[in-house]
Amino acid sequence: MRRKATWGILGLLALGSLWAYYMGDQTGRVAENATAFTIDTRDPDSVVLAQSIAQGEESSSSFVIDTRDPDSVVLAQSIAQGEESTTSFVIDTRDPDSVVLATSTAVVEESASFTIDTRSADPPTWGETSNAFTIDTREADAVVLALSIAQVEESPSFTIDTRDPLPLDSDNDGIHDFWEQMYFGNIFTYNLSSDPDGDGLSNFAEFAFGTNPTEYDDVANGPSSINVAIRLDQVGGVWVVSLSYPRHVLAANSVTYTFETASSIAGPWTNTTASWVEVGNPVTLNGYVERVTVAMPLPSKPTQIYARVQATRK
Amino acid sequence: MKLPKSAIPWLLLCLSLPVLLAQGTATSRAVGVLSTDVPTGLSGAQFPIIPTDSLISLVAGHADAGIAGKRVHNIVLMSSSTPASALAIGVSYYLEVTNGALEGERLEVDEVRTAAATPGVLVIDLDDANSTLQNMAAGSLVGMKVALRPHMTLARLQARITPALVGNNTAALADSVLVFTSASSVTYYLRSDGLTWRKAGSTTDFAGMVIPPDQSVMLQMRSGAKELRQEGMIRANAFRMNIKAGVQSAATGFPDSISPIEFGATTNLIAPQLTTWVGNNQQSLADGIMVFDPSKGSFVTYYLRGDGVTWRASGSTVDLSASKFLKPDSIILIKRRNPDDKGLVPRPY
Repeated sequence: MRRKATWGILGLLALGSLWAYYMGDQTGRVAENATAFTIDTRDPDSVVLAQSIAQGEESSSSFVIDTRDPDSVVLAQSIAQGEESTTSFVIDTRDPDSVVLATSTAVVEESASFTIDTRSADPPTWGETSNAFTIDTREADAVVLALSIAQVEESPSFTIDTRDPLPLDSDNDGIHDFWEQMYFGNIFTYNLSSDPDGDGLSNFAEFAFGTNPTEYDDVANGPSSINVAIRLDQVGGVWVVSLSYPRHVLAANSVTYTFETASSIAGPWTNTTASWVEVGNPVTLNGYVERVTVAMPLPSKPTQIYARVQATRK
Repeated sequence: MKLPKSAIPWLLLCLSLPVLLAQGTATSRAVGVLSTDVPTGLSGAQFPIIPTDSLISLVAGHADAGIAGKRVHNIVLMSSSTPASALAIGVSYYLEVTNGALEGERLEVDEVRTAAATPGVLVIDLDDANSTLQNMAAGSLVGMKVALRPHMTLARLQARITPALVGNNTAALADSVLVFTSASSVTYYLRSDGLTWRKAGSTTDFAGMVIPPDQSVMLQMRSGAKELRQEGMIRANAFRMNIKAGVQSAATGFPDSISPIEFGATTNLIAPQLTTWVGNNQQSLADGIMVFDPSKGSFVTYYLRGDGVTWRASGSTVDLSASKFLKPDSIILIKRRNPDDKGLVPRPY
């Protein structure tokens, strides 16, 4: 009897885990109506829909997305289309590479929500001038919305709520879908503890600290990007230790960062997160990685102080 | 083939493990600040803090460069960034092995050859005295993780001292750095222009002269007390020293004070007899460590006793083998009877 119960519990556990792994957390739905609907970026279907994103429409300034179109997958592969080399770029909706439209919605971050009317030749919320407009890739949220845009489906317009703090993680593996799509081309091959490039950093570590999970090169995102930097300054008579660390822009909302300090490298390490304050705005290293600086006042000048950053999945 | 019924629960458990064991935490490498007082007069200094890792990668290929009469090797890194692009102009670098059988070895980078090499190739020079390995079989680095790190130089040291050093064209009046080679020291002094460094009898500018990580130096401040502040990363791998016979400058590689035992300064009964530390109850016959004491203006001498483990200060009967007298803000000289090109300080934390 006991053996049967054990078998049953383990079976349910495994099936539940596998179901969660492959299907994702089925929370959040698209609330559609006739001509407009709201997109919830937590919706697990978003990723699938994202595949259809820029459905060509090379010929006009407005476009229709047909999620049934088999070609849409190809376009999805370019969704993040780099643009790392410049801080801004121009999109022409007539361009056959119009997939970059996926990242363009984020320029509209000033308000909590906005509506895109796909029937309009010149949707004003996109800040367009005629058929072309500029995207600033330094915008921290630029990628968050990218995956939701394709929720257009059959309706000619839709609403995106930019206040949604939860990045999309359809397969519930702890890693944002956009990040997985960007590096692996799909969301199912790896989870947060995978280390596909074998550099000793898990996918979660690479996500949290903004490194490339497919290249054995911790500084791929620019000089010193993996390096946590520390400095000691005297500001207005107060000794201040500051720490800066890189993170993926999407990690800002899905990872909790805590700070530990010690007076000896051998420890003990103390969680001093409450004493640190963020200094200024994060500085973008490229379109997807930013450097955050935090500082902590000290009662006196230390002869030695050590610090490290701990990232934990929310 | 049919699975036995009893194996099914375990199979299901194994299937669920990848999800159950998924880890959602990550910790960055430790960074630190080491601030040391530099008093007027003589004092010591070491440089255990790494300003930054310019590149971290895995070695994919390793071959002798085939330059006649030279021990120059080509290293191919599994990296998207080319090694040459990671090198800043005018900066000297070393490649430190951070894991594997050669963990801790430091290999001097030939910056000029790297710049001219095929993209993706880093050139190392084993003939350089600062390389901890002078001989290495081709291929032996393959599969190991390495970090490209900038060297400390006189100019970089100067930049870390506040208030600023004061130079003088008369050596005896200038702020200076004493570098020990064997049993003697060479004094480098800052010139009046505040940029160039010279040694007596030379007109060469030594501002770019490398102070390797395993060397401590003596600072001679004539313009008043200063602070030496080092900020950066902490070494997370074991530290290597290519120990010569005789007296030489040494450094521990880590910012915490450590004991002689942590420094590896004991007789290794397994190692070849001619490479290990030699103890003797008669101080003059024993290997020793000398640590400069700025308050006394002289070195305190310690020696290894005949048991190969006990350390005593000269004239004392107290065992100091566990005493952390090897401090990061001191100059350390070691006196060795045996050379050991595999000297190793294990990571002390």
